[in-house]
Amino acid sequence: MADTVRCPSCNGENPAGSKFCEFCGADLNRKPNTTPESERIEEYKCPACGSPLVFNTDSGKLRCGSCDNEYDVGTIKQYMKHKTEAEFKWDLNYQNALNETLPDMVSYICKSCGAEIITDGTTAATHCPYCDNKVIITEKLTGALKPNGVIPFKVDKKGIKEKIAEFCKGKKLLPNNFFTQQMIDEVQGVYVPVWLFDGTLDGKVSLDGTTSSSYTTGNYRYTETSHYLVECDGKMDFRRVPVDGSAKMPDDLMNSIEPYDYSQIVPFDGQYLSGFLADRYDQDPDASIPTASQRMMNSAVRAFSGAASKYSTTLRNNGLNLINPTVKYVLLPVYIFNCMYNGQKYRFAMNGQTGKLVGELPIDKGKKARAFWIPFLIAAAIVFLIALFLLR
Amino acid sequence: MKKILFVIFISVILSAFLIPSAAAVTLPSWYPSDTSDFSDFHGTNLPRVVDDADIFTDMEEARLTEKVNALIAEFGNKYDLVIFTDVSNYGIGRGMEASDGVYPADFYQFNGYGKGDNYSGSVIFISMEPGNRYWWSAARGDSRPYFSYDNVNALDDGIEPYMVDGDYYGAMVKYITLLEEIYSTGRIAKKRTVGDYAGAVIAALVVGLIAGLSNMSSKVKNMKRVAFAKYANDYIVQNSFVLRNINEMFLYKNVTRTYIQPSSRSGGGGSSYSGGYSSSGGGSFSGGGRHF
Repeated sequence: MADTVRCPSCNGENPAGSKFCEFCGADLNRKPNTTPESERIEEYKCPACGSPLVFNTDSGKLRCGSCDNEYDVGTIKQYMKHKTEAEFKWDLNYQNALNETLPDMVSYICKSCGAEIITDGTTAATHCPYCDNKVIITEKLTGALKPNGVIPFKVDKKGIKEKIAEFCKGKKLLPNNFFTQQMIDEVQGVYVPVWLFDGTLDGKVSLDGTTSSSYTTGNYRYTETSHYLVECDGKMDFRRVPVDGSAKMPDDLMNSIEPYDYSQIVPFDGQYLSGFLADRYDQDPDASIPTASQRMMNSAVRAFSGAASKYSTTLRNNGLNLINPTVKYVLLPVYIFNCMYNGQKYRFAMNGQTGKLVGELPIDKGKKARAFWIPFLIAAAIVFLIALFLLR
Repeated sequence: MKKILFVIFISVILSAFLIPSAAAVTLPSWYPSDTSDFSDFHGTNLPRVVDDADIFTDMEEARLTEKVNALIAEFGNKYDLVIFTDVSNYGIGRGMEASDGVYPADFYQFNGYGKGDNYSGSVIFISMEPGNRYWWSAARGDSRPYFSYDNVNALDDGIEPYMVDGDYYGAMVKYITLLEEIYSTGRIAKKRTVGDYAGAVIAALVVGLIAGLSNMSSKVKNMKRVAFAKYANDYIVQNSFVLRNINEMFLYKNVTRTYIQPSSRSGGGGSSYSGGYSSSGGGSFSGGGRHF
């Protein structure tokens, strides 16, 4: 009699007398699949192992010849829907919403980064707020689209140093001389062009869901993982999802000073530009749609996953549709400035409505090294002493 | 008359079953017929090797006796030691705590072993009963603190290879050596290899690395407050999320099996241990042993 028995599924060697394969869990006493090739439904693959599924006439289900799992035909058809990402169809027709043009204004064009800054006739731009280039050309601007609204500046740029000091609190790796050495260039208030997208996501989201449980028998710990297809049907409304329409304004910087209180949007009036600059949008809504779509979809999927919280889930199929999409063009107030420290430029931005300040700070290399080595040495010494005590 | 014959018949049948089984358990001659009123005493001219299982040669017995006496003398006649082998433990102690240890404890106490007022010392007992072969160390008096769980395990680990190989003499020589170390230092120094220390260094480096990197990365992350927004949660209209239906379909189940290493607390051969148990004569003992 043979000492081992070979698994019909994975060819693993198992001790003679075993009922199930130690490697893949397949039934070792299962008879080889004798279903004629012509009866196999090759287009359906097993969700567990990817092998072709075969229709079992006895059970009326699809059976996997490799791992012995059986599935309802309807379940498999549902499961085998192609994994797709949402492709929202935005029927915006935004040109109708933006058919008014601004009255003639002054335009400054930066030859360095290409930014086109507009302002009223009384405000002079001395340098580009994005790239800090001092050579900018003045032109007369005509035909610029009029924004649907604007949030006026509410926060004064005075006291920006105090704001930076507050922002730097708790930043352990900041160089000690940052406050004495840093130089702040001109703090420029800029109205950044932003597209605000509205819409409702409606439809079905399919999730791969798993639940796990463990138990111990003898010297073995068994972990059972059950796999489910979870289909959620629902809807979710989004309002004023912002995407900045300026290629020069870094998206991460703009994202980081969110949120704005959009209830304070007022109709655009040229007087709001007095003393400030405004960037002219260079990315139309079509170019901003992917960013808005992704943010909305991520939130919707997270909400649907939360509804199926008894499972650990991953997205399988996104069948959400966008209903009633609209877009508005608004100007949002932002203070942009750079801090010069040790010859390096660090860019900051502050929400002109709420005063929220963001930016990247210089890192002291010595402090960074100490942040690694001190806990390393303490932890290593403690563990080594404990190990020596145990080894004595 | 019939009744008398019936009673005689039943008596004969019962004696046929009961008397032989009672006769099979013939206790050793030193075992008292009544243990309830036993009083401790100091025996005289006691042998330090009692080989009732006859597993030692005469020369081995003589050498072991010499070594045991040397050990007793080395520690100022403070701790007694006797090596005792038997063909069985005669079922003594069955159902009691530390059941394997009651018979050697009885042997030690009923024969008058032990030094000083509290009869300090120990016995190493080897039972050669087929199907129930084991050894047991039982300590009394001042020797008890030395027979801690760790020390008994170390003793058992030390002699187990010899016992399994049937080298009982070698096992007892090793036992005496280890017991000498226990009485001298309080414990048996563990033999550590370079690999053990290398493991300690690696563990220290890995834990240190994790601590250092996690501390540094959290502080670096704290310096960077600029990031792309992944979600639009701030822009979901309040209470607008409607879940019309949720449909869950079971697909399949996976079962994985992971081997759990048995706990090392029971030692290599799985020592049983008792920090305090009583002999049939009421003496308090500590000790443990293993089956082989």
